[in-house]
Amino acid sequence: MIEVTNLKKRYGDTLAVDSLTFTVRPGIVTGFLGPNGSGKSTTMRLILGLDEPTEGVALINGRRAREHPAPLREIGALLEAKAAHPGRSAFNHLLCLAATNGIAKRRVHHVLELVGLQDVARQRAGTFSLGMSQRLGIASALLGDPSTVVLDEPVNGLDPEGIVWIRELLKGLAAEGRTVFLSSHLMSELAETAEHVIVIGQGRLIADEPVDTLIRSVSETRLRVLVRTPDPVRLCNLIQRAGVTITRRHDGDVLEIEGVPAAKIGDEAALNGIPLHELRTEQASLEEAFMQLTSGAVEFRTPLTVGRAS
Amino acid sequence: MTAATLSVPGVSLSRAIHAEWIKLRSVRSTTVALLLSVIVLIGVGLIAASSMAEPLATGTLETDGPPFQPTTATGATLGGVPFAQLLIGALGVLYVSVEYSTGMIRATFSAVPRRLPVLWAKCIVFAGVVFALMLVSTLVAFFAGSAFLAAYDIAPSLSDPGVLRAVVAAPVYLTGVGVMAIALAALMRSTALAVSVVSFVVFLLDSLVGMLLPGEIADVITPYLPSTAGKAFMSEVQVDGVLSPLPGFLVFCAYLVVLVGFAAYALHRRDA
Ligand SMILES: Nc1ncnc2c1ncn2[C@@H]1O[C@H](COP(=O)(O)OP(=O)(O)O)[C@@H](O)[C@H]1O
Ligand SMILES: [Mg+2]
Repeated sequence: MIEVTNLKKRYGDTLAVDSLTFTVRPGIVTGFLGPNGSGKSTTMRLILGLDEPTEGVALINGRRAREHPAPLREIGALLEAKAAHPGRSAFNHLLCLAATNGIAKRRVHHVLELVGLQDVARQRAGTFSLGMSQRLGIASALLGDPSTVVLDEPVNGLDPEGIVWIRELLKGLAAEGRTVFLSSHLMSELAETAEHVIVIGQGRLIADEPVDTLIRSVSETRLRVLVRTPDPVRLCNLIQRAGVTITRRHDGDVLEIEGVPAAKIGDEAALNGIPLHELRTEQASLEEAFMQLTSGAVEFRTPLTVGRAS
Repeated sequence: MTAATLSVPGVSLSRAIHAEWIKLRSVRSTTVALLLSVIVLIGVGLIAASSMAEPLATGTLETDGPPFQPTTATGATLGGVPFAQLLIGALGVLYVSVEYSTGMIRATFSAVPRRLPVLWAKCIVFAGVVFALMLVSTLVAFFAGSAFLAAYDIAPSLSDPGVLRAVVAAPVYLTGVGVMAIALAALMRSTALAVSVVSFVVFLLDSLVGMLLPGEIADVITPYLPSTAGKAFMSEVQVDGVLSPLPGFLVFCAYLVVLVGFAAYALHRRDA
C-alpha cells in the first residue's frame, strides 16, 4: 500500500509535484497517468525516498522508505530501463542488490527465470536489448518479493509480445494481493491493465477513480458530430451559438460540430432546406480525450470563424 | 554471526560491504585496472631503482627534478607510487561515479535508502582491496628494486631507520588516495570532474604551488598539501620543507576525514 499525503516537490522554479494526495491500494493494478513532464517519475522517486519532498509525506506500508529495515522486501521499483552497469552480468547485478537486504542467491536465480533471462544471466548487461534491460529491471523490482511494486513507464520500448507479457505479470502480481503502481503517458497502455487510475497534469491530481468510470465520463464529453453538406456556411450560421464549436475539415464541406446533438442538426437542416450528404456521431480517441483532460483544456474551446479561407 | 541472525532480513553495514565487494569484483575493467596499478607500482619502482643505482652510489643524482622524483635508495624502489596513485584515484572515482552515470545509484539507494552504509561500505571494500594489493606490490618492488641497488652496495634494509615505516606507508598513502577519490566522486557525481580533481590534487598541486605562489607563502602552504603530507610519512629520511612523519600522517588523515564527512553529508541531504 502506498499513501501519499499533500506531497510537493519543487526543483528551482519548477513545481514538479503539487499537493498530491492519493492512496494506491493492494490487490489491483493502479495506473498513474499523465503527459510527459507532469511529475510521474518525480512522484515515484519521492515514494522511494530517492528525492526528498519539499512538503508532505509518502508512506509505503505505513512507513517512509528509509524507515524500513529491509526496503527491497517492502517495495520493488523499475525506474529506468538501462540502470545496470554495462560491464556487469545480469546475475551479478541482481546479486549485489540482493546482498544489501540479505536476500538469498536462489531468489536471484528465481527472478531471472521469472523474467526469462536465465539463459543470458552471465552475459554483461551492456549487451542487452532494451526489452531485455526492461526485464532485468523488473527482475530487480521483484528481487525482495515485495508487497508493493512500482514501475515507471515499463512498456516503453517493449515489443508487442513483451507488452502482453508484462500485462499478465502485473495482473498476476495484483491477484496475489500486491500493490501494483504503473505509470504511463498513454491511456491505451493502462486501459487493459489497470483497474484504477490516478491522473495528474502539471503535478496536480486530476482524477482518482476506476478506469471504467474515467473512460465513460471522458467519452461522454468527447462526442462530436460530423456533417457533410454542400452549403456549410448557411448551416454554420444556423447552429452557431455560445458553447458550440464548429471546425471545418478537409476542403471545407465537412463540419465538425461539438455541443449540438446530431438529431438537432438534422432537424434544423431539414427545416431550412439545407441538403446533408452525411451526418454521423464520432467519438474522440481515448488519447485525444486524455490529452485534453490532462492539459486542463476540457473547458476551453476555440470556436473557429466559419468563413475562414481553407 | 550465527545462522539465525544471518537469516534476519535487513540492511546492515556488513551486508552493504558484501554488496560492494560483489560490485567491485564483478566488472572486468575494474579488476584489469587494479592489476595495472600493481604492474605500474612494481614496474616503475624497478626502473627507477635500476636507473638511479649508479647516480645514487656515486652521489651524482640531480636533485632539482619534479616533486615526485625520488632522491634516496628506498625512495627509488617506491618510485611507482606517484603513478599508481593516478590509477587508484581514477578507479576510486569510477567505483562511485559510474553508479550515477548508469542510473544504478537509484537501484542502490532504493535497496539502502539510508545511503550512508553504501558510502562506508565502498570506502571499506576499496580501502581493503587497495591496501592488500599495494602492500604486496610495494614489498615486491622494494625487494626486487633492492637487488639492483645491491650491485652498487647501496641496497636499503627494512631494519635501517625509517625504511620499514616508508614501505608500509606507501600502501597506506595509496589507500588514502583511493578513499579521497571515493569521497570526491560522491561529492561531484561526475567522472570527468572527479578524476581531474583527484589527479590534480595528488600529482600537480604541489608543483603548481611552488611555481605560482611567492616563495615564502609556498613554503608555508606546501607541507600541508595532501601529496606533500603523504611524502612526509612515506620517506625514510626527513626531507626539507616537509612535515615530520607523524604530523604528515595526521594532516593526510584530516583531509580524508573532512572529505568523507562532506561526502556523507551530501549523500544524506541531496536527491539521488
Ligand atoms: N531532478 C530534477 N531537477 C529539475 N527539474 C526536474 C527534475 N526532475 C524532474 N524535473 C522537472 O519536473 C517536472 C516533472 O518531471 P517528471 O517527474 O520527470 O515528469 P514525468 O515522469 O511525468 O514525465 C518536469 O518539468 C521536469 O523537467
Ligand atoms: Mg517520467
